[in-house]
Parts: sequence; C-alpha cells; structure tokens
Amino acid sequence: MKFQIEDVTVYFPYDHIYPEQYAYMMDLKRALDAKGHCLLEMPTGTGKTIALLALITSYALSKPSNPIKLLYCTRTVHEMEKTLAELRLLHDYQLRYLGPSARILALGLSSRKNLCINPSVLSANSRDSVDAACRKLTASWVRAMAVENPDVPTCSFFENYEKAGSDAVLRPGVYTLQDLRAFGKEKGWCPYFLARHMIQFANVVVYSYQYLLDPKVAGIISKEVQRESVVVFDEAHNIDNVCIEALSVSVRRQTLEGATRNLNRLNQEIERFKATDASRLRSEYNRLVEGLAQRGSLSLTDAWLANPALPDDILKEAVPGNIRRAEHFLSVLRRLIQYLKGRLDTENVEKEGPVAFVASINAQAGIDQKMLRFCYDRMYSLLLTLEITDTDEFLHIQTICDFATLVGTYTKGFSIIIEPVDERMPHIPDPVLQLSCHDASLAIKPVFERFQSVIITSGTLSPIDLYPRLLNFNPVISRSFTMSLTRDCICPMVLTRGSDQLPVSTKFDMRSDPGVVRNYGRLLLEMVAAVPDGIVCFFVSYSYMDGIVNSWNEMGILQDIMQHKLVFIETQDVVETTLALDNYRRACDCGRGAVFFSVARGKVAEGIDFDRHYGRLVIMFGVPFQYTLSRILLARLEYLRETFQIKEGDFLTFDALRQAAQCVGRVIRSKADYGMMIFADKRYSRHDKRSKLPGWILSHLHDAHLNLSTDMALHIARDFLRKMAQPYDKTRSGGKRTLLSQEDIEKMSNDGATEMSF
Amino acid sequence: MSGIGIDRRFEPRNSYNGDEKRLAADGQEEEEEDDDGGNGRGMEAWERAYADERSWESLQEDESGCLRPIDSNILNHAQYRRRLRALSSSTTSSRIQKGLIRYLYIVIDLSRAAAEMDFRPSRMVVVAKQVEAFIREFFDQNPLSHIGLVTIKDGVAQCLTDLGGSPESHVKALMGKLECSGDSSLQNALDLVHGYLNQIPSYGHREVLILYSALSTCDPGDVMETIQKCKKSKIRCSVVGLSAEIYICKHLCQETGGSYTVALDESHFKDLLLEHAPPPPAIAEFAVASLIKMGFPQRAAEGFVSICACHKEAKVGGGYTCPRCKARVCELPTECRICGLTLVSSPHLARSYHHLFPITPFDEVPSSLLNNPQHRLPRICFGCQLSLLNSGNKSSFRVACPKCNRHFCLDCDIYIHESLHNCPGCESLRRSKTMNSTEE
Repeated sequence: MKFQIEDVTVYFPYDHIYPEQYAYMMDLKRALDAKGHCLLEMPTGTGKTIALLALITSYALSKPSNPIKLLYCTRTVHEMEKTLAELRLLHDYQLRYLGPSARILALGLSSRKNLCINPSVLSANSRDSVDAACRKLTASWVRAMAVENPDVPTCSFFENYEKAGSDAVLRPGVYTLQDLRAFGKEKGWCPYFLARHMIQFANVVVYSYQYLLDPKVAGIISKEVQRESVVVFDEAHNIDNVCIEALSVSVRRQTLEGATRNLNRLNQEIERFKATDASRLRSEYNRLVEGLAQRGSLSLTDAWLANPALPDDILKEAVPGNIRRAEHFLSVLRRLIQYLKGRLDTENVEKEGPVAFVASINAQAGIDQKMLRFCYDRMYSLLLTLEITDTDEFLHIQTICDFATLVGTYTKGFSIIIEPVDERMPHIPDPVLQLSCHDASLAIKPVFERFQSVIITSGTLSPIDLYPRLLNFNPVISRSFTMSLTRDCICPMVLTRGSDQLPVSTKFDMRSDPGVVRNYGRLLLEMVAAVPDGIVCFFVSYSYMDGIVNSWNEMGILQDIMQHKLVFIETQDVVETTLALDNYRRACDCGRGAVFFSVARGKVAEGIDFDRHYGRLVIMFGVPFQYTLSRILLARLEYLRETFQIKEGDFLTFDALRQAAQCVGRVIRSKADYGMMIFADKRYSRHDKRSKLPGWILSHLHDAHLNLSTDMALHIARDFLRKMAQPYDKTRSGGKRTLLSQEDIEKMSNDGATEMSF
Repeated sequence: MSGIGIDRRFEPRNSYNGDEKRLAADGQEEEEEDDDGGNGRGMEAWERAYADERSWESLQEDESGCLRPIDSNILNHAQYRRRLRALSSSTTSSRIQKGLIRYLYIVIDLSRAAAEMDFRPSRMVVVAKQVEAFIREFFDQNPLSHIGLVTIKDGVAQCLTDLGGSPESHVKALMGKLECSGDSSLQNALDLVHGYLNQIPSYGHREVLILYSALSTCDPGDVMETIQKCKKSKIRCSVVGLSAEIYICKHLCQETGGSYTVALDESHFKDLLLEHAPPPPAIAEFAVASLIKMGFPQRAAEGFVSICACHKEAKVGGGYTCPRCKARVCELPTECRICGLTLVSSPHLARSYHHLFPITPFDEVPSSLLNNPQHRLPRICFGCQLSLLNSGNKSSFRVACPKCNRHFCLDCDIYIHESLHNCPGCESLRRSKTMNSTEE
C-alpha cells in the first residue's frame, strides 16, 4: 500500500498496517525532518523493522537531490539476515511501483568469519584466527613476496578482486551475507573486501553495533560514511552496556604471561631483522621521528584494528623519543608487564582512578602518561614493520597495549579495580585487573556528533527518560508505543504470596528460607500441571538457580514436576545449552511438554525466542538485580550519581526491570501468539518497581492481577488458556480497529487527525 | 433410587465410584441436582464462593461503566450464527458430498488429568455424561454409522467397545469403566484406532474423536510418524480439549483435516461435542460413488418365536428378519451376524437425507433497513407469529430467508436450522404455487 505522511509518500509492502506502525512512522518522519536523534519504544511483534525501513527508504526516495544513507545496527548476525530479508521484500515492492528509479544498494557487513569464501581460511574456527589466516594470505608484503616467488600462497579471490580494480562493484540490489558470498563465488571476488569497499556507495548498510561503537573497529570500517546518514540501533535496550564494554579492558594473569611470551617472540624477530635487514628498522625509526606513526598510504589489507581511544582524544603528535627504537619500546612494555604483575599479586581489593594509577606507574616503572598513550600505535607500527601476519597469536600483548593507551588517555569516567579473588568463590585465587568505563556516553558521543539522526529503538526502553541521561544526549522525540490487539493475548501477573499466603521474594534475607523455596516450587508444580507445552523459568543468577534446584530435588518437588514435563537447564557452557534448547523444543513439539530453567542476563534471556508453543508461560523468579557487591558496579553507581545525578536505587531498579522485561518479552513475538508472564516476587507489586516495566506490559497488567497467591494465579492461568484456545477472528468487527487499510489511512490524514491516540 | 442412596452413605463423598454408580443407574436430570448438592456440602463456604458460583461472570461493564447482566440470548445466537456460517462456508457449493456412513472411534482420556475438579464434579464424569448424550444424538443423526469406544489409562489405550450401531451397549460399557489414573498417550491411542479403522471398507468414513483432558502425551515412539500414518489412511482426527490448547493436538488435527476445539465450561463442551454429530463433508479423493448392498428387513410378527442372532437366545415377538439369511436381529441398524449384510430401515435413510440438502443460512436484516420508515417490514415472525417489535415500537434483531424473504425471530432461526430442516416460508410458498396452478 501507498500513503502520505505529510510530504513523504510511503511505500509499504503489505496491504494493511497496524495503527502503532503508522504512529511510529509519523514520529520517525518528524525526527528525520528535525535532523535530530530519537528514542522510540515499540513492543516486539508489531513490525518495527519494516516500519523503520519503509519510512526511511521512502524518505530517501522523496528527496532525490540529497539522499540520506541508512546505517542499521543489529545485535546478531541472525537479526541482520532477517532485516535484510524484510528490506528485500520492501525493495521489490518499491521497484514494482516506481520502476528503476527506486533502485538502491543495500548490503550486510559482518566479520571475515561470516563472509570469507576461501576454504583454507574458513577452516579456522575462531574469529581472530580467521582474520589472521586472511592476513597471512593478503598482507601487502606477502603479496609482494608472491610476485617474486609463486610458491607463496595467496588468496585467489582477493587477487581477482584487486585485478578487477574499480570494476569490482555490486550492482544495485539487496545483498544478504549469503548473497554476498554467492556473488563473490560467482565472480571470484573476495566478498569481505568488496562489501567493505561498497559501504561508501551503499544506500543501506546493515551491520553490528561494534562497527560504530567500538573505536577500534569503527575507525576502520565506518570512517568514510557521510554525515547525512540515519543511524538506527535496533534492540538497543542494552546499548549502554555495549558502549561501556567497548572501552573496558580486563587483564588476568594468563594475559600477562601470554604478553611476556609475545615480547620474547618480538625480541627474536627484531634480532633477526637486525641481522638481515637492519635498514627496515631504521626506516621505521625515521618515520616515527617525522610523526608518521601510522596511516599514510597503507593498503586495504594491512589495516587492522584502530586505536582503542576515541578519534577526538588521540594525540596528533610524534611518538615520544624513548619508545621510538623497537628495543626500547619492548623494554618499556616489559617494565609495564612487570608492574602489572606486581599489582595483581595483591591480597586485598584495590580501587584507583586512572590519574593515581598512572602516577604510580610513573613512580615505580618509570613510564609516563605520554608513553602509555602511544603504546597502541607504537605496537601496531612495530608489528607492521616486522611483517607479522599471525596476529591472533599476539592478542595478549594487544590487550596490554589497549589497556595502556586507554589508561593514558582518559582521566575521567574510568576506574581501575584489582580483585584478588572472585567474591562468589573466595577460595580460588583468580586475580583480575579491570579498567572499567563507567560512562556510556563516551563511546556513543562521536556517533551522535557525527550523524544527523540517530534512532534508538527497542521493545523495552522503559523508563524512556533514563536513556538520554545515561547516554548524555537530547532526543527530539522520545515516545513509547503500546500494542493494539484484537484480543488480550498477553497476561502478566504479579505473584506476591505462595499457596500458604506467606510472601515470596528473592531478597537477600529471604531467598534461602525453605518456606520461600517451597512456595516457588509449589508454584511451578501447579503451573506445569495447568499449562500446556513449554514453560520458561528465569532465575536471578546461576548460583541461585543451582541452589533452588537442589532444594527442590531434596524436597521431591522436582520429581513431581518431571511427571508432567521434562526439565532442561541452561548452563554456562554454550554447547550444552544449545543441546538443551534443542531437546526442549523437541519435547514441546511432540507434546511431552518441557520446562526450561534459565538465568536472567544469560545468553538465553537475551537472544532466544520462546514464541508460540515453545513458551506459553514465563515465570520470573525474583527481581534480577545485578550483583550489588560487585566493585565495578559500585564504582559505576558512584560515577553515575556524581556526574549524571542518577540515584543508585533508580539505576539498579531500572536495570533489573529492563532485564525482567526482556526475559518475559521472550514469549510473545507476534500478535497471533499468546502467553502468560508471572512476576514471582513481592517487590513487583510496589509501584516504584512496577512502573518501570514497559507500557505494553503495564497496559495489560490489571489491578486484579497485582497481588496474587499461587492458587489465584492458577485460576487465572486456566481461564486465560481456555479463552486463548478459542478460535479468534482477525478482523473482528466489534472491537478496536487493529489493521488499517489504505483507505483508512487516507481518511485519517484528510481528517487532519495527525495526533492520534491509542 | 433408595437402594443407591443407602449405598452412597458408605462411600466417601467425592469418590468417583459413587458418582459413577449414580450416573449409571439413573437418568441424568435428577442426578445433576443431587451432584451439586453433594459437592457443595463437601466444600468450605469460602471455597465455594470463590470457585463455584462465579456470579461476577454473568455481569459485564457497559460504555458508561455500569454493570449489566450479560445478554446471554444475543451471545448464544451470535455463537450459533458463527457456527452456521462456518458450516455453510465449508460447503458453499450446492452439490456437496457428505459422508453418511461413518465409522467413528471416540477416544476418552482417562489419565490422571481427568480427575481434575475444574469441571464439576470432575472432568471424567462430565465427559462421560456428555459422551452419552453425544452417542444418542449421533445415532439419531447418523443412523447408518458406527461408533467404537477407546480409553487411555496408565499410558495404554484400551478398546472398550468394538464398532457397533447400538447406543445402549456403548453407554453401558462406558459407565462401567469410569476410573482414571496414570499418564496419557496420544500415540498409543492413535495406533490402536488406526489398526481397527484400517480394515474399514472404503465407502465408510474413518473418524476419530479424541476427548483429551491431559496437557501432555507420554509416547513410546515418534508420535509424528503415527500422525502421518493416520493421514495416509485418511483417518480424520478431531480433538476436543478440556483445559488448554496443545500444540501436538493442533498439529494432528491440521494434518488429518479434523477440527480442534477447547471447551470453556460444561455447556460449551456439550456444544463442541455435538458439533461432531452432523456428518462432515466427504474428502474429495475419497468420494467416489460406490454402491453398497443393504438389506431392509421386515419386522417379524408378534408372537413369533425365534432364536435371536445377537443375544443367542430364543425370543418371542418383535425383532427383524434378515432378508438374505432369515436370521433374527433385535434392532436396526446393524450388520447381520450371520451373513454380514448391512441392515437398515428406510426411515433411517430418510433421516440422513437432510444433511445433503441443508437449508441456506438466513441473512441478518441490516439495522439501516429496520430504521428506514420507507420500507414496510413485517411485524411478526413468520414462524411463531410473535411480534418482532420491541417495546417502544423499535424493531429488534431479525433474520430473513434469502429465498422466500420471510422474516423470522432468533428462536425460530435456530429451530429451523437445527431441528426442522425445512423453511416454513419456502414450503408454504411452494404449496400456494401448486394450489394456484391447480386452480388455473
């Protein structure tokens, strides 16, 4: 269908549109007009992606003189593929309507591991080793060598791509990763480098968060993107954590040992070069004197990760004299490692600011701030000079240089925390030194400054006013949409009491109370007998889950549960969890029924959907607060209070509730689906907790469902399931309109009903 | 009755045996009251108030926020119309084929879940009661068909009665076997039924109706294979669930072309069950016209003594004589025990007739037409002659037959479609036409 939003003609590939999609597009359009940033919350299953894509591409089409570019960031490769598939549908539709003038180039970009088609490179298993294997075949000196000596292996795909030169382009169209690989195979060109090259010309690029937020990657990939771009962060409820992780480094004992090994190896290389090709080292020295630490005329394949600090913070100066010579630089690193080793041997927890830490390095190891700052670039230059291709071997020393550069660059918003043991396992010594970033706004700031519109969207962004403060920006529009439903297909409940009317909670002083454990067990037992197919349970942590499952086993509750459904458990092992999930799905398919025990903040809670019969009920046992005694969290809370005036309690509650909302949001992925959500903790009935849930859950949370005991919840569950099992008719004439056709939209815009309220 | 009363005094109040005996012995109307009384006494007052009466459910909020009793009449009728429309949409073409000779297995789930008390007094008793009613209704509508009963208990499927045409024997067998335990297994039940139905001659319609209380199935093998097997043998599987929608049941019904419904309460369960009484449309590739040999036995003279083939004892009077082998059978329709001939009576065939020529569903008269003063609409229902006008001279909801354009009230609408199977308007029209032609 085709309709007008103000001056933009929107092409939408379906015959009907949900009213919230229409409203979403309106707000999006205004944000684009204002060339500002916006925050939009809309529940999953309402077609957020297609609404976004349809509006932005139509907007670009309506302004042919100055077309905007769309950078769409997703969290996983799977989501990337889904987005591109939707885009293809939309593109085909626009082509049919508008003819060839609507042609665009859209492509996905991922790491070499997902794009490489060279079988010998692809056989490596980790991402870093694929990168290294690629570099071994394509680095400029390797290729130079291959010209003289045909026995040196190179990558034929890359050679072909180079030979094609400026002819190597993608025709307009939509390319998923798979299409890129197929295209590469057909032409014999390297899809990875082709895709990287085409980013400059593409109208739509779909890639991962890291390509914009992590300065190491962004410096290479997204450097040349024009300012007139729209950046979309999809599923962005955890964007602050992504930003923080991009600037945090943790150093363990293994890292230091590995770094020492790397240094020895580098030393050997230097000796070898000294003996054979001393002029090379000398030319590097001269280059450094001239201040050309890097860049210059590097070939495409030699470029690796850029400086971990943000582009604005990098010094535009020459490398200081005392680390210009390779041997001197290595000895500086050696001293640094020695110093870090000494710090790791501590008996008690230490916390320091970067300034104090740098001062103490200076005093004890004689390395000043400026030297630290240049560590990363210096190391990079050295590795290039030594023509090292197996970069995956040098990860440890890179981590150390990363750490040194960050600690030398930033004085605010970071802290260094050294912990001798993991608090939860105090008998196993596992010292770790963490440089943790507290300020999510640091990493995202360049993105906000550089691009004209940044759109942050997700199913759960509540409370929506906290995000601008955390990320330190001013959205022109921030809005939360609710879902329009033909029937009440979600049923959230807050369970505060067990069957014996005693309160249940995972509060610290109550969680090990056998009464609470039993009440939780009884709840699950009643539910497995009343709910068909799949049930998903989320616990607050692995240790809590282990404890409670053990107690249930001793009480015999687990055995009773197994009579009704099979039980599967998420573990920290990815392979085991994948297997468990697979079997869980099979048990749901064949009618045996199953329960999945999982952990909030775990892998399952973030990325796995339990739609349709795979999740008819999700029980959230407790409020998933972060581990509040963690030093990093405490340091971050302190920083947030001092810098952004966000109260500790507010942030913790916000964080816990968004995790809870993520967990329960797993069960419903479309409007035709239905599912129940039980929040089993007395604290959820308090207004300050509950009000932070997203609007689309709150609007279905009736007052009568707020303070339930197990038997009442059971009753509601039975009724709900019966009601949902009735055949429902999508175009119910009596109820609210939930599908708008083209005529409806036209009528609405004629009426001037631009301010719609749902 | 009194004997049973004494009997019950020694039984624990909620025991299923007691209920079962009561049900088996008496007519059900009397028993219903008795049941409720017995149950209410067994529960504490607060429990009863919360779970039983549910008086708030018969209220609803109107636009202004006032509470009003739900107009169940309108609701019922809307439900009925939806059903009718669904039925007619599946058979829109005028020449539909219907499977009149049906071989139906009713699978009753008597696993642990059947003891749940969310239906009063328990799911099992409710199911038994409604199955009894269903069996009678089924034979009333499908006199040429056969029913068999299968139960699932302790993970094993058991055949309670073989395929047969006598309602009494089924009901009796069912009532004698009412106890529940263990898991339920869909696969075992399907396998068993598949074994029986596979031998049915091709003109018969193979159907399974599963009344499923449990929420899971504990199978020895891959149930998907069994479903495919059923699909291949053209067995139409339908499920009526008692608690919630289960994926595997839905899958089964989708694959085999059956219907899947879940009951809200007892009356809804009854409705859902009775939906399976009228014959389903024939499966296309199956609907090859074929001739079936049938016998129309004569009723034997009073006082005629013969040895009955079904009970194997001498009986006086009554009974029917098989036209081929002259054996005596007690009731129709049946299959002759001696020569295997299908024995029916002509009224049975006639009773199946209306399924082939259903009356078209009536159209709702739009409210715009009702309020339009230029159209003069009839004031009374053509069927019952009662006024169609509400108090205040406003026209109420009404329907019209698309052929004869007569208007009917809602009650007559239901009566015509579900019991009468003839439109009075069209019939009288035809009569007056013929009379006119004779006059001329």
